[in-house]
Amino acid sequence: MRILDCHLNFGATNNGEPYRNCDTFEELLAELDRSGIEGGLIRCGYSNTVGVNYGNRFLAEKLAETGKENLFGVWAALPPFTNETPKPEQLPGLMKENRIGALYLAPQAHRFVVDRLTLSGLLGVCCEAKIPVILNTSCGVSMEQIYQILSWFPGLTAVVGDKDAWPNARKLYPLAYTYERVYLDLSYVMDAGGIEDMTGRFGAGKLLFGTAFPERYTGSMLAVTRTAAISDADREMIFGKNLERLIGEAELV
Amino acid sequence: MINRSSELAQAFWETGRLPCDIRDFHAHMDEHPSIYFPFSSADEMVADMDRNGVKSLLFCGHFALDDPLFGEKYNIEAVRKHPTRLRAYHIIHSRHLDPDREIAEVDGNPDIYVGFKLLGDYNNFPVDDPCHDRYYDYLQQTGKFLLLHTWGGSPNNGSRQVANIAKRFPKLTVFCGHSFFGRSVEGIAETKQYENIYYELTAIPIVRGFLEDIVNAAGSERVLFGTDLPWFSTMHGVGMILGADITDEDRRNIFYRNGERLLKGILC
Repeated sequence: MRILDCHLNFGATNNGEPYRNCDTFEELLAELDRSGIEGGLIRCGYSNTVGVNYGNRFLAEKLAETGKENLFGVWAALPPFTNETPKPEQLPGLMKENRIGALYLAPQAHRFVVDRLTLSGLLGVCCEAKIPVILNTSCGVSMEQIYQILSWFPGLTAVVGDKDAWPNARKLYPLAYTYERVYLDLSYVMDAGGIEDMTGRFGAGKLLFGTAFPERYTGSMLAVTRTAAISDADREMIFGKNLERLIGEAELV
Repeated sequence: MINRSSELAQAFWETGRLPCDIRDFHAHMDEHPSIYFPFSSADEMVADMDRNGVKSLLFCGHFALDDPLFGEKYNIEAVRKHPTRLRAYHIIHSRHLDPDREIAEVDGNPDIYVGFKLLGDYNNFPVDDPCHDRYYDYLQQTGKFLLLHTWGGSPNNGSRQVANIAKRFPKLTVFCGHSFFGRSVEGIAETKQYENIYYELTAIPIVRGFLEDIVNAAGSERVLFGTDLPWFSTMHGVGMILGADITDEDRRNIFYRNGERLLKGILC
């Protein structure tokens, strides 16, 4: 069974966060090998802590050096008004060229306002090209902002996650029920019976295996997903097939 | 796979079950106003224990936790229904103390209760306040357990308050729920000299590296498995332990050896 992780991160930090960090891309690859995770979506923390272009470029270079087919990058995306990053219409081509499988929004770190005005150009292109956009409270976007974004762009392909230490179904389920192209990142869904409940309600097709490494132990969600009382076909979808499909559906030309 | 270097992890990955029992020392039961639980009844929790190889579970239900007047009866009902799998902690509400009655309830129902539970932060009341001393004295005399919700830096249930209790009741068996989350190393350093203090793992899986710190500081012989079930999946904690940078001997101590030693004659 192929295992792909929708929530991976690396990059040295100077503030002690996360508690046990993964400084280098090589360390990340070693952990994936140790855990039997074949690949997934990888963010580079430098895009938040050093510079958006610095981190995006660093990630693309590491992916090119490795050349592994199951590893895909996630670039930080900015509203286009300051012309600091490529224009939205250039993104599909650049993403294909650099093995980038998704984008993420970090309005807190990048200090932009979450509004239809700021996001229309960028997310309009993402909707059209079916580019997955990661909307996760761990990236500094609030659940209220995620609800707003999806109400403005209901056709957006979004990978939604909520870093809450308490079970958070009341926040996540409305989105999964309402928006056809919303997928749930399971990294923070450690609820007893959570995967079984979600699979029964809106189907395994909307669930993506994730670990939030290095913030969290890869073993935790591996064990939860391995033992969930669901069919093997559903497990296979959650562990990797859904993410594979999502990345493949993006029209990157 | 979780961890190629662990035989336990490999056996688990192949079969979907640990090749050993699990003893869970920290759980709840029934609904909670802030959370949707896919399951939370005693029957559903025992079914979940069966699926995951959890031999016994010590709990204090939400109704007892949050209703100081009428909630305790639900703990009793649950244990009576599953006497070979469950035992309860009787809650202590610091603002509704009735030591004569509550100690008598615990003492008169050894088939129900293993001791008391106290949550200083939730009561907004320090656990080392002398108003609790009669409870602690009873537990020390009888060898029953005290489960404390503990949190790093808390003025109500931090390591200072636990150390203050231990100084007055050095033989009292205390389970430090959440192991002084966020400041485990300092908390363990302040309390480890008291040999009957144990460190419990609920919530620890949410920060990579905390488990290794706890095992290094306390020794795995002093660490207990716990989940907060039905809050968190048993397997979330199991996966952390299998994947962490500790030995299989440590894992066995945490999953069942320490628990079996403590529960001998109760649920073993």
